Amino acid sequence: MNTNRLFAGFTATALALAAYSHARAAEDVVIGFAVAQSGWMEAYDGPPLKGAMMAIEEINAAGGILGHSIRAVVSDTKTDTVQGAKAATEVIAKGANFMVVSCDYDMGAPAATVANDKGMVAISFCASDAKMGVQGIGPYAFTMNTPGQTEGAIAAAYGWSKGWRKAYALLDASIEYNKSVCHGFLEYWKKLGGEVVGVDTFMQEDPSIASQITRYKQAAAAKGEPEIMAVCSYVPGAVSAIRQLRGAGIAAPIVSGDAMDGHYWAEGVPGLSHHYAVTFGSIYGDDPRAEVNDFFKRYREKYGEPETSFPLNGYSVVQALKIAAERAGSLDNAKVLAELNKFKKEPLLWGPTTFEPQMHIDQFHPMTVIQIQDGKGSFAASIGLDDPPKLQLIFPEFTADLYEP
Amino acid sequence: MSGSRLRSLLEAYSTPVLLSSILSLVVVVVWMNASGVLAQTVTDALIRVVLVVGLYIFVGNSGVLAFGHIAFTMIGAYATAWLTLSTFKKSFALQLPAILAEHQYPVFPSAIAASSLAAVVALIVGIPIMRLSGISAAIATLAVLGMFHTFYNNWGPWTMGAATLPGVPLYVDMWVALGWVVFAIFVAFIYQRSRYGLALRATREDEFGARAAGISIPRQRLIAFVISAFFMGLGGVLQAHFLGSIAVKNFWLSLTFISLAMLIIGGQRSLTGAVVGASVISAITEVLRLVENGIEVGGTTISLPPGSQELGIALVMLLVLIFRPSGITGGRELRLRLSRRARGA
Amino acid sequence: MIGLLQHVVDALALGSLYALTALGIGLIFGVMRLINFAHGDFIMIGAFSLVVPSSAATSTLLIGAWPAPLMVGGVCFVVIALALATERLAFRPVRRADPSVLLITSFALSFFLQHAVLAVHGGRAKSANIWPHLMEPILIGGVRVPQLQLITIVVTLVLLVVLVVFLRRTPMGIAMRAASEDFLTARLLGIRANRVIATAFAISGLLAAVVSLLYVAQTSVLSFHMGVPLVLFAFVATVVGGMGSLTGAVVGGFVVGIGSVFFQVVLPAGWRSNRDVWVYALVLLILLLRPSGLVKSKSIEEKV
Repeated sequence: MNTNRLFAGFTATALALAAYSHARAAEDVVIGFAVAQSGWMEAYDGPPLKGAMMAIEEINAAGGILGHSIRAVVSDTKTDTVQGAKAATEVIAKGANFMVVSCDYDMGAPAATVANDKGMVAISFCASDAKMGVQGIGPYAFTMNTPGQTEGAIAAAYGWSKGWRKAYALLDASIEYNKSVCHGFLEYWKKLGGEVVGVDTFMQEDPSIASQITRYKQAAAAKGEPEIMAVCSYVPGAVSAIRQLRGAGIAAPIVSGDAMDGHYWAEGVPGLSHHYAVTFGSIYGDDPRAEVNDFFKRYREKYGEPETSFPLNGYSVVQALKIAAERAGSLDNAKVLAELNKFKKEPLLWGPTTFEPQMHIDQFHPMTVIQIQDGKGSFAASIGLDDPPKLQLIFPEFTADLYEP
Repeated sequence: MSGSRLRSLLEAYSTPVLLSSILSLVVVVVWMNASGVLAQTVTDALIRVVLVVGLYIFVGNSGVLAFGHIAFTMIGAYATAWLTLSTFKKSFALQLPAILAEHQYPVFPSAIAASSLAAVVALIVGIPIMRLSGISAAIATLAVLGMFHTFYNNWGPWTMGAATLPGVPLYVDMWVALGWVVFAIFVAFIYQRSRYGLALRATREDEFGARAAGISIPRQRLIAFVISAFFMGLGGVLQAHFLGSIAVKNFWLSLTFISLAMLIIGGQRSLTGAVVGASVISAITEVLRLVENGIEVGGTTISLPPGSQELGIALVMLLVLIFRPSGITGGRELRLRLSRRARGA
Repeated sequence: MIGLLQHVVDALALGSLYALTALGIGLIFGVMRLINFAHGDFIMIGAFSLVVPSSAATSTLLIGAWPAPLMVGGVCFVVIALALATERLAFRPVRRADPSVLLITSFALSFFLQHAVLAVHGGRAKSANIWPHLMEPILIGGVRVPQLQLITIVVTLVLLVVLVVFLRRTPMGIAMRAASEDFLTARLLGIRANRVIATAFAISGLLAAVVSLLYVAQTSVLSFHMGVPLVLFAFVATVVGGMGSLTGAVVGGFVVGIGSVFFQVVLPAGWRSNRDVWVYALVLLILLLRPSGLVKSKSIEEKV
């Protein structure tokens, strides 16, 4: 048993104890976190949870919400959907005023459904899906992310700005997030006037993408070498694909979404260069926003090196609840919901955030492009779109002739 | 009805009566005392009982393993969503034909219809597959699951593809689940005592003997397969209306294996085994989860590191299999003897 | 034409990986009627033995940092030790039970191993970079073949030949074949069951270790779940090939691997995400046409 996991265990115990001893302290504002503390989702919920804890600590030091201090109640979803619903019930039983759910639409949906059913605001750390909102879970669900389609479109805009004109898209068709990124990329790329050399699909758990590489080379030979390649996937399948692509001598710049944030995975691809991920901020101290660099400095002191920029979203979730509750002058969920719905370029740590009564995901959020060159990560660009692709909840089969203008 | 006839009827049906009574007692006790979380745990466990009883109807009676039954659970879950989602939700989430898209159907007939769809699919795929024997049949059902799993994962207009389909009306609580469990237990018991059930059990014990006695093995297996699929579908329906959302990825190998494990650990040769297996594994899982979260013993809180619950349940399963390879019940039924007449087991 | 050759090599390489995995499963099934789902986790543990156990997101090579012969030896040692330990602790006590009990035992074991790795290594998948130069392609007759694909095919062929020689020429190999023909009679004739079964597990561990190395060299991926898709297809392959026949396991592995690449190549773009529907349909078709598999085993009249 390693120290980090022991630490997590102790934290959970301490929180549980704290929750117990404070059970009657009705003055606190309780934020219930129904997130994964074990199983694979823990890797994605852990960092934003730490960010949220920092926000709670810092907001409490500055006087809390409406004069009440904030208290966190955490229940482990164990990366399981049934357990997710139980975790939501548990944090409500422990007095939660608001709920925070997993950084993934699929894993967060059961908990958010429980909250929505009870008329409680539930914000996902970073689900990149409009269904974590009015279009899916219901009017009380929000997410602190932009849709995968916008991420893909921003990746296209970045490639266009670099002067690249021929694109290839490789989609891992195993989850909808990947589809949304690739569809957003393709749609925006065609709108910009870019050429599409070819599209192909693979699956996350495929042991080999050799036949996809062969097809890529045939397309490149027929229509010219692609100058940009969208690989819409996530770790570890994406790492496997990129290793095989680079190994086969394919050097085209690769773009992807927030699932490929950070560079912790890049050691699987020795000396990786020209990889660009659209995400929330730079963890490398070179973000143009001083408050982001400053946040990661504080984060490092407390928790060590961040793997991704996801802690920004955890922090922003708590900020959003504070702002909405103080504007509402109340902890009443209906009033807080009304205030959240009025967010117009609200300056949160991860960036200016806009919600509307029918849109609980920020389609226009400016995102940061992170590049990996020689295995090292750094800031590349910051891009926001005024004309992101129109939201789609279901995507058609992925073919090269989609979105012809 | 005279006292002795009532007694013999009660005696004949003592297994389902006892099993249902015990589960009902648990539900009543939880209802009187406990929190929402425990009620959810019990509901989840009862849904598992439906699934494992469904699995038992085929696997237990035929002695043939099946890896594909979760496909029917998935079919049932999505079918009930097509029927019961609000037309508003359907309008932007799915692209269904008008008869589904423009109506929202009541939950009870929908549950029956969705489970029946699972049974119809089982009938269609079962006709060729039930001719196979042993491991080939098991893998053929796995291939069916693989096909449905991949297809539903990409069937955007009907399933939202791999994404979780939200907004399924929540109505399954402990009581609803209990009602369906009792129904499942009685149907399973009536089937296994019927001449079809007895014929199938005969093929399990002696395939050649049964064939010599004129029993058509594919036909008997098919009957069990279809009834079994109905209850697997029902399990999916209950799961959908319990969680309020469904996702293709949850109907895959882990659910397949945990349901099979529950059946075999309980004792695959008896209905009691199916019910006991699902209940006991669910109960131990929850206890381990509580310990993992921290329980208070004499003023101090003891807790285990995250992930210990999963390791613990795996060890418990291994130990039961090692020390009781024929399952907790050893294939015996729970039954009541009211008269002094001795009866064969 | 060159494209076709390239696809053939791709298909053979993927088929080899499935064939090696299927062989490991088929061998154990032969001697003790156990469908060992934990075989995938043997592969997974072999991969994780390359790095230092830690929950940090980035991995530090452990066995993976050793020179190639030591690395191969080290991974084989770890996986063989694991295979023998599971045989002794989990499978031997249930050996006489129903095959379904054996199967569920292997499932419980698999669940245990996966969650143990999750607890130790954390939920984030890791990468281990071994033998990166093997990814570079070499030119053979106009076809650019990654060296690793060639190595995978060659290693598979060599292991098959060695295994055939072992099974036909050595006393232990002959005992193993006898045991898979008819375990009871073999025992009556004085074959020591424990030795035979332990040897079978050791060989299946060795095969799993080789797959781990080939798989990690190809993908660099270390994930607690990485063994599952491999073992699923390999399991299907053993049955398609003919349960109980080692030749069948190999044939089945190649059929599934080649089928998978075939559908990936021929299906139009919009259909490719449904590739596995076609692969499973092929499996179903083969089973319906040849219920006892492509290669019929002489001995199997099993009831599972």
